[in-house]
Amino acid sequence: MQNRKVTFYEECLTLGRFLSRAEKEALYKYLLETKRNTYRAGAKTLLQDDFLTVYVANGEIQYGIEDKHVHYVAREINSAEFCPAIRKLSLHVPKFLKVIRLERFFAQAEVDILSNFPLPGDNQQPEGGFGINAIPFYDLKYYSNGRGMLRGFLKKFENSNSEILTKLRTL
Amino acid sequence: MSISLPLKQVFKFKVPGVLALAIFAGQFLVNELPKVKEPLCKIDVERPHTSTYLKQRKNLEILKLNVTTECTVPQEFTILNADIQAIVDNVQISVQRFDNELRVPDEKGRFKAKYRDLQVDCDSLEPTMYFGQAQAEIHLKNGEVEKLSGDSQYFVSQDCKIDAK
Repeated sequence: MQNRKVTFYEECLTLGRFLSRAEKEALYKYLLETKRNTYRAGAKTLLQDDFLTVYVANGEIQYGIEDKHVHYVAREINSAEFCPAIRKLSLHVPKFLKVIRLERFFAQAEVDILSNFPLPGDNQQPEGGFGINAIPFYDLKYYSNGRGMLRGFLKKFENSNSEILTKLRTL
Repeated sequence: MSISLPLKQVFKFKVPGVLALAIFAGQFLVNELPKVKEPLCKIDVERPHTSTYLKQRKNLEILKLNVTTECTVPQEFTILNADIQAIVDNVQISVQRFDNELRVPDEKGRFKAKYRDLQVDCDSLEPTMYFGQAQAEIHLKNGEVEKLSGDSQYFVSQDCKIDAK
């Protein structure tokens, strides 16, 4: 029997803290492309119930809506302690925009979880607490490194990470 | 023979008005001026060093920068901006930046936030001199924010060359 080759996406599920910022950014775009229908269904459930649990790699994410803001807490599967709710996103927008915002929030949360709670693999993960990029990929300020949305909008098109994205789509 | 103490003279001693005012003002300044606060946190930036990891079944060399922030009171999280500097062709340049990296202290204690995944792939194994520096914004549980910076003190040679981006 022949062993199936591991795809680049499957390898990303095991890299955890070894994922570079560029790879995380490409993963965010890839997840938005490939899981849009799942995210849309999840957004509808979350808007209806104000609560949603999702499992990604070796992590569990619990989304909640409070005061028209979505947040998440997460933990490693079989762990008792949840990380604190750090990411929050306002949902003070019309309903169709809420769904779009939630799709982006879900993709960002899943990238956060992939880098913190990966599937077991060849690489021993370094120690350290829960870690994320403080400015999320769905915020234009990410691309300007916190120096304004307009600058971020212009810079967004400069760094496309297309090479990694192509690898994710094809390998 | 009786000894008489000059008690009357002692009680009659007067502090000149201007001097009294100066003493009063001095006392006020000492007590009321904002005191220089003792820092609650410190930052430790280790020297950049190489490590190996597996990617697509290849042994890849990476250069790592370990940073730790530690406080005497519990912290919520730390946001870090760091960079690895190198000497290339006798010029000091930044070869890798790590911007807005947020870490939550691990469960053993809420006092230390550890950065153990600030890393960059080596482009070749050519020896190069490296130095690390970082600026941290520490959000404490009590709502205060501490800002501090640190560096790895001196350049060290590592068998890893990173092409500046």
